[in-house]
Order: sequence, then structure tokens, then C-alpha cells
Amino acid sequence: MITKIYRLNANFLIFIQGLLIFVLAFEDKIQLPFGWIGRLHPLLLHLPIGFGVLLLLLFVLQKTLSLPDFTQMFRFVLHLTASLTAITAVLGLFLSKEGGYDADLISFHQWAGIGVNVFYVAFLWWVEREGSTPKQWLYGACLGVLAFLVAGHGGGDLTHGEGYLLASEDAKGPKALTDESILYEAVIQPILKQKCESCHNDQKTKGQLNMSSIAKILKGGKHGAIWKAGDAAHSHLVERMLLPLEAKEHMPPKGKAQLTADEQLLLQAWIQEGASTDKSLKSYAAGSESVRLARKISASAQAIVLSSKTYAFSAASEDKIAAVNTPFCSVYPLASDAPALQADFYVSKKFDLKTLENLSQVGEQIVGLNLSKMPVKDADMSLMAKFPNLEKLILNFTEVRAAALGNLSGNTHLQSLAIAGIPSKVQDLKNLLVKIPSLREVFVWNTGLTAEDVSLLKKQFPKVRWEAGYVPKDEKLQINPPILVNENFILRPNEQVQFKHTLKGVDFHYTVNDSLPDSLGTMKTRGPIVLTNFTKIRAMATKDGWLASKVVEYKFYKSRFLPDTVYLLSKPDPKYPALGGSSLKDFVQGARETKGVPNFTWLGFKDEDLDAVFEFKQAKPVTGVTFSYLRKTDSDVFPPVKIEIYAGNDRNALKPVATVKPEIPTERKGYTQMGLNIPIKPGSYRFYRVKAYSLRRLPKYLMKDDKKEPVENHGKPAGMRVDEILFY
Amino acid sequence: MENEFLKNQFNITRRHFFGKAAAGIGGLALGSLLVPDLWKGDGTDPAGSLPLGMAHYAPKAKRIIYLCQNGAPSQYESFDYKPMLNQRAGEDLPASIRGNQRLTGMTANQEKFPLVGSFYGFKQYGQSGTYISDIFPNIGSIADDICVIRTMSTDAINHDPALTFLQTGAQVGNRPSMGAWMSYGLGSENKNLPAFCVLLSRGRGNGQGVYSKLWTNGFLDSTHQGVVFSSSEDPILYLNDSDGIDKQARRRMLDELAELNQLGFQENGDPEVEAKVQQYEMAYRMQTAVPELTDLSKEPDHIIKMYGPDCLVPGTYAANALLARKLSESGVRFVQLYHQGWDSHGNLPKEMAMQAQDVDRSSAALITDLKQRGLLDETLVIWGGEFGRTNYCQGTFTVDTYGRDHHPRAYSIFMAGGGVKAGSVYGETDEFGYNVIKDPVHIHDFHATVQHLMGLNHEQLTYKHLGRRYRLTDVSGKVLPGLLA
Repeated sequence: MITKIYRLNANFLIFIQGLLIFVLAFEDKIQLPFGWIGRLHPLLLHLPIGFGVLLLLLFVLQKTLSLPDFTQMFRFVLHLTASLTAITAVLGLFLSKEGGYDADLISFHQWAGIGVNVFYVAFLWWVEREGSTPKQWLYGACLGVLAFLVAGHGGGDLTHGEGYLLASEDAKGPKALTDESILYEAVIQPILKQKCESCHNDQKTKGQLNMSSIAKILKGGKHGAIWKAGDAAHSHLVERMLLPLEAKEHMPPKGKAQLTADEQLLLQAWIQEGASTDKSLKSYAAGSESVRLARKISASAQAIVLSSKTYAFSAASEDKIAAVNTPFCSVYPLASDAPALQADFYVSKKFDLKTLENLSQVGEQIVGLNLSKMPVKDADMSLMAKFPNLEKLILNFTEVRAAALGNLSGNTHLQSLAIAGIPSKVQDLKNLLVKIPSLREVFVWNTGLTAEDVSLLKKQFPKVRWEAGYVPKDEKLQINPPILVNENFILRPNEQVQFKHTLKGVDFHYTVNDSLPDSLGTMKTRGPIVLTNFTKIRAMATKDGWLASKVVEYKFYKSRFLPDTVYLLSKPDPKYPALGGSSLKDFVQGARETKGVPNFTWLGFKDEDLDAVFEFKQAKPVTGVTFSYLRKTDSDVFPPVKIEIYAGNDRNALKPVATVKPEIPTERKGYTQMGLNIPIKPGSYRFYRVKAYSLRRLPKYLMKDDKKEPVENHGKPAGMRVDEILFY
Repeated sequence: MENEFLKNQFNITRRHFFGKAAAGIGGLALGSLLVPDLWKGDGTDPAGSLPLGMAHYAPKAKRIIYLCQNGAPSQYESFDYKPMLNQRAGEDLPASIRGNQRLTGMTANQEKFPLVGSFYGFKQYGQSGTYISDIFPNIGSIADDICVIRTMSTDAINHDPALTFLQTGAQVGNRPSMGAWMSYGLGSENKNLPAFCVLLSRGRGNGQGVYSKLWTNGFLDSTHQGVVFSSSEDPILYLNDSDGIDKQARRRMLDELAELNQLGFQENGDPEVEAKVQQYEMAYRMQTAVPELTDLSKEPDHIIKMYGPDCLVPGTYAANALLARKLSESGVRFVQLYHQGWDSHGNLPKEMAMQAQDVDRSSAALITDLKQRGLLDETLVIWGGEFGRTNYCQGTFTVDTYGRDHHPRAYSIFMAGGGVKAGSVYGETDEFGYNVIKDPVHIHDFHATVQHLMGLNHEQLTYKHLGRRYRLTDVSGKVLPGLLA
């Protein structure tokens, strides 16, 4: 059986040799029925190489096998190798007909391939004949592998480009663009090289186009020149690259690295602007699109360059860094790969000069020092000499005077100095700059320098950035309203009203008579305001250079005499018992109900009147009573219809001293805490009795205002809520 | 036979074993030669390679102030000038422009998507000629100090996931916030203050919530969590010693407590116990550092005018901006502000003007203030929201009371200071402002770039959790050189 196959194979090999000779002889006239068949060459070629190597490796087993077994194996593999080599060679020939390859390279590879094929046919013949020895076979297998190496290398040069095997893989990074750079060389050529040259080169000239040098590019390909200088729209290169990716003609072909949007734009712009190959960036007109795009592409291609600065000194030891760190002075390396240190001081009241002196242990390494707001003084500036490598120094709002900055003359590396808040004169800074020419930026905000001073300095030292910061404009802003210091609105006998302001030098204008305050006529104060009884205060803040503030409005309830005991004679609404009569003098202001749940700050009455007697252990010359209550007519809480006050020294024989009828609201109103000052006939008494009559029948107008209001409410008793009853 | 074979296989003497193992080790050794930095650590494990609490390479910015405009301010009324929307107001958004963009439930059922242009005019500012809307005149005046990014894009279309994505790099919760990563990677500058502070304020527009997951430490140690300052007059509550407790008593109490906690730690090994001890210590040290922060008496009077008088009212954006400057000046690594009220689904022109009034002056003041103190070079200021708004009107179309829905594809923010290209505009949107046509900045890229500015390699700052390593940018993100100065 196997011998039959070997015989067949031998015939096949002879057939292939014939085919090869034929194809070689009639190279130009051949028309392949299946054009694609040659492209199987790169797939198939790996098989004979593998078998050729296996043939050699078989000798490892030679000793363990009997001679017939080994011979059988060797013959089998050799037949496979020889036939596959032959097929591969034919397919290779077919593929070479597609063209587009470097003639020298292809001819070398072609003849090498055919040579390998011939070699294996001959080898097979030698082995099959009587009398050959395994030792000879070994030499043959070795020779075969060598032949494969030679032919295979030629193939590699064809597909991957000449010199692929040993070429260094170091990618050449794009060069930084300067004005002198030739735009074509710096940007266009690298793009073409990267995106086009792999198919259009000396070895592989697809479409008869070779783009390996500018001369060859200008020669053009099958379709002639690939660009028309000045006419991007009709340039072949532009047409092809702008086709949709799916289109067959699109370049670069789908699957290969594509041009980016910016690269496409640049190629168009460059062709449009003349496709010059020797113009430098600076010779393009201002606003040139090519230059803009070239700069952009070159900037983004230059990946992220980490500017790791090198320092002339070495790093301080970790122990030393730890030793100079305190809770109020942080000393830390600028980065993990730099010896340079930054030192920052915090919390001025904890500043300790020793910490600063101590820093000299790492003085060489310190490049940044922030002493902002620390109480360092002129004399301390001499310490700066211990930091010879200092680059940035922040002295904002310290106690150093500008004149003492001359002490910095040892800091020859100082580039940045911030002295905001340090009163300075032009001369001080001029002296400084002469002493430290390395300075590149000085922050002089809030130093008292005028705009002219700064422009003078800018003129004299144009290389230095002078940062003057915010210069207050003439605009007038509205100042904030006064802030009330008081937390309670029910004032005890000695309590006063106090306003404050976050700005200094602010005046408060206020009124207590319901009129609006203004900055001229009304009362003005910076101190406390004394009230006598329930008062509505309206106040605003004023300050030079500012517009007057908004008006704020507060209601205060003021007590002058504190009763010792309260006797509540009537029965409160069981829903609003508060804490009985004492709630009337507890200085706790009535609070809003949350979700309709009554709280204990209001004493409520319904269908009952308030009747309470206040007792003072000693008679008091009360001049009036403040009655504070809630008005919330949309939930039936109304003021009392009448308040009567009685006074006397005998609890059982009190005489009327006042009667008032509070105004009953005539429209629906929401939550308002009301205060009513009721003056009484002068006199000094121990007992005061207050009777407040609640509204027994709700008036009709409620329903008129709001149709949704239940009609039944009309005629029912209203609620009354009383907060405090105060004596003044 | 089979047994014998097995026997033989195991019949290896010690000598054989080492002999064979040597060959294996030889292979390993050869392999290791091919990886030049193998023993130096490949950077994926910071514990083994780069020291924590230190920049990987020289940073451009040491600190960040993030002015988060919560609720998504409209790009069309702020930084992305699209006059064509005014010309074509009322016309339907072309389907080709919208593409396959999903919409929120609020406008998905709208029959039409009428384009609407900015109610406010635009002007060019500074030498850079950046277009900025008329409701941000003060930001306009510092146009040469800022870098406007017009092509931010995010994955989420609703506030909660978008904010969470913006802050933590993931739409799901419980990943560390940007500030927590900075605290973890760079440590604290001032040992008397937290490295990550959070300040909240609320504007007058339609607001969206802020919640602690936005400033969470996630799986990082809880010392990296954002510390929220109170919006009352006392930014940090309960900092004063209570009556009858003096400094020494407090110190003794803390020492004793730490000892007790140490016992607990020895027993259960929970690292959170140690974190707690550190937090008590931090609070103790804050007692000395905070009073200086809140003291305005050393501020020159015109600072108040610069930030606007609102900065004297605790809890306002202006007050927070001023406090942010003071915190940053005091070495706080990451100050995070949130200002609510930008979610203008209706009546945008009025709401947006009020919001702008709240933030314009003080945002610009903050940048100028840092600049004049020599601190802007080392501080990165970021201003912007979680996504943008649609170029079409939500609800009834009018040119003066229109609303805008959420739009994640393209929106504008700006950055200033520490290493960003000042006086520049990055990215370009189409004429409708709907799509990015040049230089997109995805949230992951934004995070990568911000970390780069802080001297951190975003691929190397990792934390191992639940069996894998996490980063702020997780598995994507690239540093955008075009943003760097």
C-alpha cells in the first residue's frame, strides 16, 4: 500500500518539475484560471520547512528504532517534504506573476525556492535507490534545512522589507518642530513613511508606485502623479484617502493603519499650499493651515514628555527629612525621583523659628519654601543663605520688610518670589533684582506699589513677570445686611439688641417706628440698641465705598419686670395646655407646629377666655403690658376680641387699668406672631390680672374668600393662642 | 507494567530533583533577563515600587480646587458659542445630527426637538479671544488664565450616575472619589487639616442632590474620605473643647482612648480602628489650625469686594470659594465645592442668570487671588458640571423661557492654573454644539490628565481590592497633551 503511494508521489513530483519548467519558460504568456491560488504560497510554505526540520530531528530517534522502522519513518517524512516543497514552489511562481515586487529580491527568492525543490527531489531519488546509508541521509537532511534558511530569508525580505530581520526596533521619535524645520521632512514624510511605504517601496511597488523617496514619489504610479501642487481636490492621493473606508480604492486599504483626521487635513492643506518639499515652517504665510496642523500633529505625537529636572545635589536621607518635619512644618520631596525638597509652614501662632533654623540640615535640598503668614522678621532672612538652591520663596503677609530682601543675595537660584502684603517701594525691588538676576517672577500684589510703579519695573526688568494682582475698581457693591447677634426675640430685663458685621467700620441705621431706615435721617449706631417694649426694628448697614445694604426686619418682645407667680384661672384648650400659666412668662417663643401636631410653646383657648393673675412679691411701677399672640386666620386662630387688665395690691380687689380691642382681621392670613403693647394707668402694684376674650363665633368672610373652606366653620368658636405676657 | 512506570516516574532522588529543578530555574533566570525592570517592580503594585504619599514625577500642580457645578450648567449659555442655533431657532434638530443619541424620559416623548439659541449674547475676551457668555463677565475678564474645554463627554445621562462617574470614575457607587485618590496617592501636605475637604452651597435654580458617595473613600482607608465642612458660621462643628475640659485633659483622654483602641486593634486587626485613631488625632490638631482659616480679619478689605459681599455669608458659593482659597493655601490637597441649582429644565434664561450671578464673580476672584499670591502655578482649578444640556428646547418652545434637557455627548468646562494651557480653547463641537468633531475629552481622559498634572501616573496609582487592582481611570483613559502647558 505505502509503496504504491510513494510511487504515485514520485510521479507527482516529476509532473511538478515539468510544470515548473513550463511556467518558467512561458512566464509572460501564462493566464491563471484561479488568480488567487498563488496567494496560498505564504500559507503553504511553512509546511515543507517544518517537515524539513523534522526530517533532521528524526535522527534523535535513530538509535531507539530498528533500521527498517527508522527507514520507514524517514522515507515517509521525506516524501511529504519533497512534494510540499514542490507545490509551494509552483504557487510561489504563480504569486510572483501578480507583480509589484522588487525584481532582484524576487528573482533571488524564486531561484532559491526552485533550488530547494530540486534538491529535495534529488535527495529523495538518492534515498530511494539501493545502497544509500543513514549517515548520508543525515547530511542530506542538514543540507535541506540550510537550503530552506536561504530561500526563506529571501521570502522574508520580500514580505517584511529588506533587512527586516536584523533591523533595530528603536522607533525614531518625531523631532520637535522649530521654525527652521522643513515642513515636508519634519511632518509629511514621516506620515507617508508610516502609512504608505509598507506597500509602496523599493521591494513592493503596488500600483507601480514607489514612495521610498521624494524623487520616486514625484514619478507617480500607474495613474500618474499622486498630487497636483495647489489643487488638493484633484490630487489622486487626496481622492483615494477620502473615499469611504469600505471602498475598494480607499487608501490605505482597510486593515492597514489609517490616516488620522488631522493627518488627512494636513496632507490636503500641504498640497493646497503648494506641496513644497523644501519650505521651512517660517517661510509659510502667517495663518497657514499646514503649519498649524503640523504643529498640532507634532505636539500630539511627542507623547507626554516628563520634564524631570536634574539637580546638582543628591537626596537627603529619609531620617534627616523626618527630623526636620514637625506638625507645623511639612518637608517633602517634590517627586519620588527627585532629590529636591519643598518646605511649607502652617499655623502662624505655632510658628517656631527653631524649626526654620533646623531646616538647614536639609538646606541644600530645599528648592521651595513657603512662609506665608508666618511671623518671620527681617533678621530671619539671613537664614535664607542656608538654602543655596532655593527656587521659589513665598513670603506673603509675613513681617519681613521689603528693604530686608537684600539678604536673599545668596539665593542665586531663586526664580520666583511672592511678597504679597509686604509694603514695598520701587527702589527696594530694583535693588533686589540687581542682587538676584535669576528672578523670573515676583508677586507684588497688595504691596502698596501703584500701577505706575509696576509698569516702571516691567520696563526696567522686562524678562521678569510682575504680578500686581487684583486692583480694586471704583465699582460700588451692595454691602451685606447687618447680622443679628441675639438668638432670642423675647428679651429679659437687661438684654439689648445687638447687630454685628463681618466688615470693620460698618454703621447700622435703624428705625423702631415701622418706617424704612435710610443713611441720613434715621438713628445710627455701632453699639447695642435698648428697647422698652414690643418693637419692630428695621435696620441696614452702611460703609464708605459701599452701597447701603438691604433692610432687615426683626420683632422683639421686651420685658422689664418679671412676675414671681402666675395663677391661671381659666381652663385652656385641652389640645394646647402648654405648661399652664408659667408658659406665659417662660421666655420661650411660640414655635410653629410641624404637621399639625400641637407643641407646648403656645397656651391655647377655645370657647374659653384667658384669665390669669400675675403676682410680684414687691409692687412694681408697671407702665404697660405686652400681650403676644398668634394670628393664623386660615386655621381659625384669631386674636382676642378684647383684653382687659386689672391691677391692685389686694388680689381680691383689683381695679381695671386698661381695656383694648385688638383689630380682628378681615381677610384670610397666614402665620403671624403678633405683639400688642397695652399701656396702663401709672401706678405701682403687686397684682396684675389679664383677661383676654376669645372670638366665639367665626365670621362669615372666611367662606367668601375660599370656596373650599367648610361652610360649617361659620359661627363656630375661633381658637386663641397666647405666647407671653410681659410687663414693662 | 503501568505500575512500574508510575513507580519510576516518582522514583526521583533528592539529587535528581535539584538537578531537574536547576534546569527549570535556569529557564526562569533566562526569562527574567528578557524583562529588564522585573526586579524593580513593574509599577502595578505601588506598595512594591512607587512610594505612596509622593508624586511619581515632578508635579505641575500640588493641589486641586474643584468647583463642581452640580446639576449641569448649559454650555450654550456659557462657553460654547453657537450662533447658528439662534438663526435656526424653532427648527427641528436634524436626525443626522442626533444620530443614535438616547434621550432622557423627560424629552423622549416630545414630538419635536426645536433648536434654541442662547438667550444671552457672547463676547470675545482677552488675547485668546475666547467666546464667553454675557452672564459670566468676570470669568471673561480672566479668559487668558483659563483653558476652556468644549468637548467633555460622559457616559451617563442622568445626574446621579453622571456625578458619580465624574467624581469616582465609575457610574456605580462606592469607588473612591478623585479627592480620596489624591489623598491616597499624595498624602496630606498640612498635617493639621484633612487632605480632602468638601464645601456645599445651593443656588437659586432647580437643584439636584449631593450625597456622601460623591466624596467617599470607597475601598480606600477611611482617612481619605472627604470631610464636609458645615455651611454655618462655624465651618467645623464641635471643634471647641467642651466646658470644663482643657487642652491637657483632652490630650490625656485621647491618649487613653488610643490605647484602648490599640487593644481592640490587636484583637480584631481591623484597619478601620487605626483609621479612627488617626481621625481623632486629626480633629485634635484641627483645633489649632481651623481658627486661622475662618479668621477674615487678616484679609485686606478689597478681597471681600473681589469675591463679592456674599463671601461674608457662610454657606454661599462665594464664601466657599474664599474658604477654598484659604484651605488650599493651607495645604489641603483637594478642595471640592458643589454648587447646586444648575438643572434648568424650564425657564433656563432666568435660572441660569441667577446661578451665574452667584458663581461668576467669586470663581474669577478665586483664580485671580491664587494668581496674585503666586499659588496659581501650583494649584489646579476646575470648573464644570457632570454633563451638558441639549441644543433643543424641553417643553413649550419660546426664545426666552425655554428649558434644556440633559446632554452627555459634548459639554464645556474650564480649568486654570497648575500646568494647563492658559488662554486656550480645547476641542470643537459641530455647529449645533451637539457632537464633538475634534479632540474629545472623555471623563476617563480628564481624570488621567488631572492625575498627570498632579505628578501621578494614572496607570500606576492602583489599589488592590476584591482580587483585582483598581484605578481612578479603571481600564481606560489617556493623558491629553493638548491640555498641558
